[in-house]
Formats: sequence, structure tokens, C-alpha cells
Amino acid sequence: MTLLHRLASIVRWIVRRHRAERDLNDEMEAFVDMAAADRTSDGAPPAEARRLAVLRLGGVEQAKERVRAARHGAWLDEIGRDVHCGLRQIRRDPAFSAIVIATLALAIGLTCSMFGVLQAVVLRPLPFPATKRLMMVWQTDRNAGTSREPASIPDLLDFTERSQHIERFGAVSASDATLQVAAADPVHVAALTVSSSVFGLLGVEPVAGRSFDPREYRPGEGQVVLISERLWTRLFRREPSAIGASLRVNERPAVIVGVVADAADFGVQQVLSSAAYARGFADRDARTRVDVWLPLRAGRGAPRGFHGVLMIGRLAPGATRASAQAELARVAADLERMYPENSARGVFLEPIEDVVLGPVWTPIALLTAGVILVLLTACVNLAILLLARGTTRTNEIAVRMALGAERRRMLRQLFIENVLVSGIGAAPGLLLAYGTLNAIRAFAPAHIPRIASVGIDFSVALVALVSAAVIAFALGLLPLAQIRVGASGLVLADRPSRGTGVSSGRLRSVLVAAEVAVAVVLLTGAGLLTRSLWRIYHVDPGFDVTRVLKAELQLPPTRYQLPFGASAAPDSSFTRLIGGFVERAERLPDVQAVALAAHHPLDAGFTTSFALVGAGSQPANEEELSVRGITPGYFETMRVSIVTGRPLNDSDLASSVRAAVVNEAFVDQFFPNVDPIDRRLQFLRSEWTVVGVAGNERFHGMTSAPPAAAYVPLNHAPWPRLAMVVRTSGDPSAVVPGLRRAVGEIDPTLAMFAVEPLEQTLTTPFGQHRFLTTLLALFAIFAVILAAVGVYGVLSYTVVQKTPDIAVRMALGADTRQVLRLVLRETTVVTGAGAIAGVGLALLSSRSLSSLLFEVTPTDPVTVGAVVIFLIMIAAAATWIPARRALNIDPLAALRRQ
Amino acid sequence: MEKLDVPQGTLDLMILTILAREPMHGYGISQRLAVLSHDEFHVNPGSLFPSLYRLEEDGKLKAEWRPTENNRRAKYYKLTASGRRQLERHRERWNRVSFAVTGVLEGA
Repeated sequence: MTLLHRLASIVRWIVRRHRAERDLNDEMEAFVDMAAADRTSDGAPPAEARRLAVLRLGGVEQAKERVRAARHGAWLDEIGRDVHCGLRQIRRDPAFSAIVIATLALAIGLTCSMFGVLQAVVLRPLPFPATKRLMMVWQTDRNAGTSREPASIPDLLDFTERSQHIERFGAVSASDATLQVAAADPVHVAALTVSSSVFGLLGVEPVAGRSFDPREYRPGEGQVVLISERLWTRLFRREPSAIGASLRVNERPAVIVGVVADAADFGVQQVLSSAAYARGFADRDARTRVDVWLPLRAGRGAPRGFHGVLMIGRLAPGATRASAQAELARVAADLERMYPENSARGVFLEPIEDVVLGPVWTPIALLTAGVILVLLTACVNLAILLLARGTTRTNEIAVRMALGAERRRMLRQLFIENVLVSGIGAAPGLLLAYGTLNAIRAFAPAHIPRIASVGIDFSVALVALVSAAVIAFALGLLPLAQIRVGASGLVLADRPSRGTGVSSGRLRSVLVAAEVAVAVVLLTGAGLLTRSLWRIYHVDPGFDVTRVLKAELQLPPTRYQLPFGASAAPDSSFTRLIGGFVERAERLPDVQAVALAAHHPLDAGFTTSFALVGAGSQPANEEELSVRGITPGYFETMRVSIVTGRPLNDSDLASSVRAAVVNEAFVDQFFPNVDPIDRRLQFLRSEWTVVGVAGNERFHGMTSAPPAAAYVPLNHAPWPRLAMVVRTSGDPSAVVPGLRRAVGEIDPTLAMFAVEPLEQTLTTPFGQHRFLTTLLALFAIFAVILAAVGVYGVLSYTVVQKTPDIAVRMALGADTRQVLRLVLRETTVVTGAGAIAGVGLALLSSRSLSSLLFEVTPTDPVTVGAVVIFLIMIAAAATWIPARRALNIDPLAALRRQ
Repeated sequence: MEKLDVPQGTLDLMILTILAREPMHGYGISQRLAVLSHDEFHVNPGSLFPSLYRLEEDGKLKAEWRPTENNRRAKYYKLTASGRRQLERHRERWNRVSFAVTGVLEGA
């Protein structure tokens, strides 16, 4: 019979179902009537005749049933009934079904979330044209041992001329800029200066207005800029009049010619952060986005020794990274020979993809491993749960098969049941994924590229459905195994046969032990990271960040002449600025102390070489001094202790004797057994006298040792960028408007930026660590819950299996302890074996975390011990209910059931 | 004597043969079958009707409701052209099978 014919009859059947049913009924009725009529005519009374007729027929319902089964569309009806039946089964044991569905939802949700993150961050190709051929052309410095250095403009031009394997070179340079539109407040933004080919290399197109003209890259033309969409919205409310508007950039007039998309600066943060120098705004904050783009204007006259641009290039067709690397190395060697500024400078080609995604691989690999472990645990649990239930249902199945159900039909029914459960689990799974991805978007560290675009899209939903289907299919095969195993002896036995129990029970135990091991591994990892984080948070920074506000100022060189080296007198406008600001800020309400500094306490600042005047060991060649320019209020504001001598005061600002306060690290290194007071130092072309010793500030970060430093009066060591630190008695942010006013009163063209409570500056660098730790802790908790469910399941099953044994022993007088020992033996072995294996695995694998750990060894015994104890407690809790059930067995009832 | 089961695969052939003579309803078919088979084959509706319905869906039979002699309503089945062709095929096959079996039984 042709397929078409069969389809047609199915359609017909669906359409005419009701009528067909009625027809069937009528036909059977007619049959019965006629049979009865015959008997009546043979002499039987009508009622009796009818009864005999029906009897002889063998049951009207059965006949109808068989007719229905024979029809082509019948199977649809059957599946409908199976679904109905399956739903009823699910409702019958709500606790069990809930656990299964929850586990499924977890498994599907985790898979989707992981896939969503991988897809957004790693799997999607980077938005550059010909991404794989885009390279960073770093320079290297053999003397300093660095491999990601910026280059100079003349170098860029030479490379461009001499290279065949790179078809196009571009250069970028990061900086800060102050923008002022008309009479509005000045705004401080991150700026990127780009050479003419950069937009083409990166595939950046303007969303409004136009890109730069070739002539706009030539020196001498009026300044033009491109702004970001963000800035366009913020300053111009997206009005088209922004195109062509004039504004002042760093005090110089410029014209906006176009707007670029917010995503145009993709990868810039990562590239800048990888560079050894010339990192520009990337050092300040990983969240900084480029808001203004400027054309790079520099000719051959630029100094060869000033390395201020980062080079990118695209491989020519046919060239490879290796061939280009070799060629450029030759060019670099040539330049080295020709110019002394290029001594020891080589070249290093790195695919942009690696630079942008490189820092992200480790955390993502770690998290993916975590997800996979939890997923496996969830699937194992599901398998165990369903197998266990299958076993307890063998009685029911046996009875049904004895009543005549076909085996194929039973299998189909169980299969449909499992499909239903998976389907029901898929919806909350997707919901879980949705919530998780939203949370990741909100809390993930900002420097992970494209993390902000993580979300549910078509492919993620597809993954959800596919994983649900795979799980349904795999689990659907489980009943097959059970029924086949039991088919021969099943119909006769009326309880689960021991034989099957033992062999699958062993597998079950091994699986649960594996779950326990996984839980231990994840718990240990999370525990180590948490401990490390705790340690970091409790490092004494050497200064007090509570209720301190930080804000930064950039002083334009046009109005503030700040000679490097303190020998010349600083600009009077500079001295007026610092003095005036401190005075005004101190008068603001709620302010306890104010200071200005060249660098705030979490800014590494700069170092310089120095010499000791007079006796004492001279510093070796590479040993440098960190110089911190401050106003006298600094020590009080930051609550830095003075160990000996005195802090800097106002008279030091004006005095001709230059006073300096060194820190303890300096004394430990250079004046180990000597009184440092009144000693003299030489740096910044001046001589300084030590008047005091201050406690160490960890301005290189909590995880690095504080370097040797000297605090000097700010007007003797001026710096074009200043940090204000203000200690308040209330909420630090409340002081911000007053500070802005104070700055505006002294110099209205200055823009305050990077305004935040210093506490935030302290904790931001640990964003990634916190994120990882939180996620890993979450995984660990899931794994523990799943392992607990697994242990519970195993013990429940054991109790059911051993009920006859227990009953007999109880009847013979066994006491509580003996019963418990019988029942808990297997669980204890399983949990113990799992814990030991887990500890072993954890100790082996925790090495991979060592780069993330601070002051905690990967084999930290305290953490491992805590994990083991925690696990034992959880295992004990999980065995509580089944153990009690075992103790409450009524021996007589149980034996009677045999 | 114990009841004989209808041999596997022959029910269709017999139904078609019976209906080749004249259209009939289900009860009638089961009666006719009993009579013609010398009272050996007593088919109950649980076996008869599934075959009838299948043959109808396959297009070998056509059914319509008609009043019986006693003015009841019953579903009458009629052979279609395709049904007749099917009957021929079945019959030919049966002849071949029985010829072969007889040959073995007599020749061995």
C-alpha cells in the first residue's frame, strides 16, 4: 500500500473519528441484535438470547478494541492515551517527579547557559573583516625582556614601506581627552588616535556622518573627530546637528564629522591591557570605552625614540604568520643596525584573536569544566533515579503484561513517559538559562569581551531542545534494559529479583561514589578560591579606604607648565590650584580631611632612579624609587601611620629645603640598621632630606609587596594628572557636587573624572576573581545537592531491597545498631570511597588554580579538611530518612508480604 | 472435538470469496463462513471485524449502511474492482500453496 494512500487514510480517520466510532458502535449493536434474533428464533427468551449472543461474541469491548487497533490511524490514538497515562504516572508520585524534573531543568539550564556564554564570547567570530589575518605587530625589547611593546612613528613608516607580507599597517594610540561643547561642563573621555588604515582594518563604519578624509590625516589641517554613539546620545541627544558641530578637545577647537557605533572599540581594551607600555586609559579601568576618535597626524619628523603607537597589520594574500614574522624580523634587524634608538628592538606578530580572547580562556575553560562536571552528575542522578523507579515498577509492569499488554506497547508507554518528563523539564530549564545568562550579563567582569551580549537566542533555544531530546532518548532506553533483563522471570516473580538488583546495584554505587568525588573536587576548588579571596580582602592595604572619595583631574599642558624634575619652580597656577582646592574642599560639610596627590593610593605611579648622599649602600642599577607627590593632608586623609620622625607640613611646601618622607619598605631596603632621619637623597635633579618614615601603602595592589617610596610635597614634584582624596564622615558620594563646585571655582575648564569611593577602586580589580569564585561555589553547591540526592537514592533502594533481611533480623531480635549497620554499610563505603577519590582528584587538579590563589596553597589542608567534614555531614543528613524508614519496618508485615 | 483456528492468512481470502458472490453484513459473513466450512470455522467479531475494516481501508471493500430483511440497519460490505483483483491473487497463491503441500504429503 502506498505511503500516500496510508497518509490519506490516516487523515480520513482523524477527520472522521467520531463518526467512525459511532459507526463501529452501531455495527456491533447490529451484530449483537442479529445474533440474539437468531437465538430467539431458536426458542430462547430474548434477554437470555442476547446474553448468550454477547457471551459467544467474546466481549463487545474487546472486539471494538481490536478493530480500533487494526485501523491505520490507530497508533495516534494510542500515543494520545500513552501521553495521558504518562501524565497520570507523573502525578502519582509528585515528589519523585519533582526531583526528576528539577534535575532535568538544572541539566538543561546549565547546558544552555554554558553554550550561551561560549557562543557569545568565544565561538562567534570576531567582528573584524578577515579576522584570522589580522595581527598585532608588537615590538620587543631584548634588554627589558618584554614582547609587547609599542613602536615609534618612523618605525611604522619604515615597516609599511619595507614589508610585503603585511599588506596593510595601522597604528593606534590611546589617551585621555577633555571635551567641552559650547558652554557646557567639560567632559573627560577616553580617546583613541588612529592612522588612516585602521577603520578599514577593523571594519568600522560610521553610523552617522562620515569617516575621516585622507587629507584629514595630514598635519596642519583643522582638527576633526568622530564620537561614539554613547557620547552622541549623552551630549547631543542624538540630534543630527551634532555632525558638523564644533567643540573643544583638550582646549583646541575641533569639528565632529561623524558618529561610530558603541561596539567599534571592540578589542581595544584587551589590546591595550596586553601592551607593556602605552596602555593609556586601559590602566585606569577595564570598563573604559572609547568615546572619541582622532586621526593620527605625524610625519617623518616624529622622534624615532618615542614609542607611542601600537601597530596592527593584515597579512597579505598568501603570506602566513610565520613568513610575515620572519620578514618583519629582518626589517627590525635592519632598523636596529641603522638607528641607535632601535637597539635591542625586535618584532613579535600575534593574531588579534589571541590577544582579545587570550585572557579569557582560562576562566572560561575552568567554568566549562565545572559545568560539565555538574551536568554529568545530574545525568547520572537521573539515570539512577529512573532505574530505581523502573525496578520498583516491575511488579506493575509484570501484572500488566500478564493481563495481555504487548511488550512493545509497554516499552512505548515508558518511553513516552520519559519523553514527557524531559519535555516538562525543558521549559524550566530554559527559564533557568534565561535567568542565569541575565545574571552573568549583570555581574560578569567587564573586560570579558562581548559578555554584555550574552543572552537567549535561537541557537541557545535549539541547544535546549536538542539536549532535552538527547536526554529523553537516552533515558527512554533505560526501561528497555530493565524489561529485557526481567522479561523471562518477571511475570512469575512478584518482587524484584535479587539477581538483577545486585549487578545494577553495583553500577549504581560506583556512579554515586563518582558523584561524591565530583562534589568534593568542586567544593575544594570553590573553598580554595573563597579562602584566597578572603585573604585578599583582609590584607592590610596600609591605608584606610572607608568613606574616602577619590576623583581625578587632568591638567591641560597649555595652561599648566609643569617642568619635569623639580629644579625649576612650578607654575604659580599649579600652586594656586592645589592650595585653593584643598582650602575650599576642607570647608565642605561632612569633610574630615582632604589631600591632593599625583597618584591616589591604588595608583602605581612612576619610579625614578635615585642616589644616596653620604654614607650608606648605594642602590643598584635597577633599583628605583617610587615618588609620591602629596599635599600635607595626605597622611591624615589616608590614615597612614608615621613610624618615626614627622609627616610633611605646610611649611615644607614653601621651604627651600626639600623635605621627603620615606616608607618602611625603603628603610628596610636601604637603611636597614641606620636612622634614616636627616639622611639625604638625590632624585628628580634635586636633593631631598628625610624628615620622617611612614607605614607602607600597598599601591602596587594587595597581592604585591609595597615598593620603596618617598613622599614629597606636590608642588616640588608636579604632575599633570592629580587625584583628590577626601575623607568624609558620611556617604562619600554626597560630597561630589561640592567638589565639582570647588574645582569649578578655581578653574572652570577642568573636568573631574574617575569619581568613585576609594573602596570601589580597591575591590574592582578582583571582579574576575569574585565572579569565578561565586560561579564555582554555585557549581559546588549544585554538585553537593545532587550527590546528596544520589546517596539518598542509593540508600532508599538498599532499604527496599533488604527489607526482607531486615525484617528477619528484627524478628530474631536484632537491635537498632545492628539494623543500621546492615543498612548503612553500603552507603558508608560508597561515600567514603567517593570522598577519598575526590580528595585525591582535588589535590591533583587544584594546581590549575594556583595562578588565582593568594597566600593559599593548592593543597591547603584546612580547606580540604573542611570540605570532607561538610560532606560527611551532608551524607549523614541524606541517609537520615531512609535509615529511619529501615528502623520503622514492621517485621511481621514485611515478612507476610513475601 | 476442539475448535479449529482459521489458518494464518486465509481469513482475508475467505471473506473476499464470500463477498464475491453478493454484498453482505458482518453477521451474515460470519454465519456463511461457519456454514461453508462445514461448521469448523467460527470466527468471532474480534477477529472478523478488524479484517473487514482493514480491507475497507485498503480499498478492497466498500461499505454502506442498508436496511436488512428485518428492517434493521446494518453495514453491508461489497467487493470493489481492486478487491476482485486481490481475490484473484490470493486465490492463485492459495492454490499454489495447497498444491505444494499436497504434493509433499502424497509423495513422501
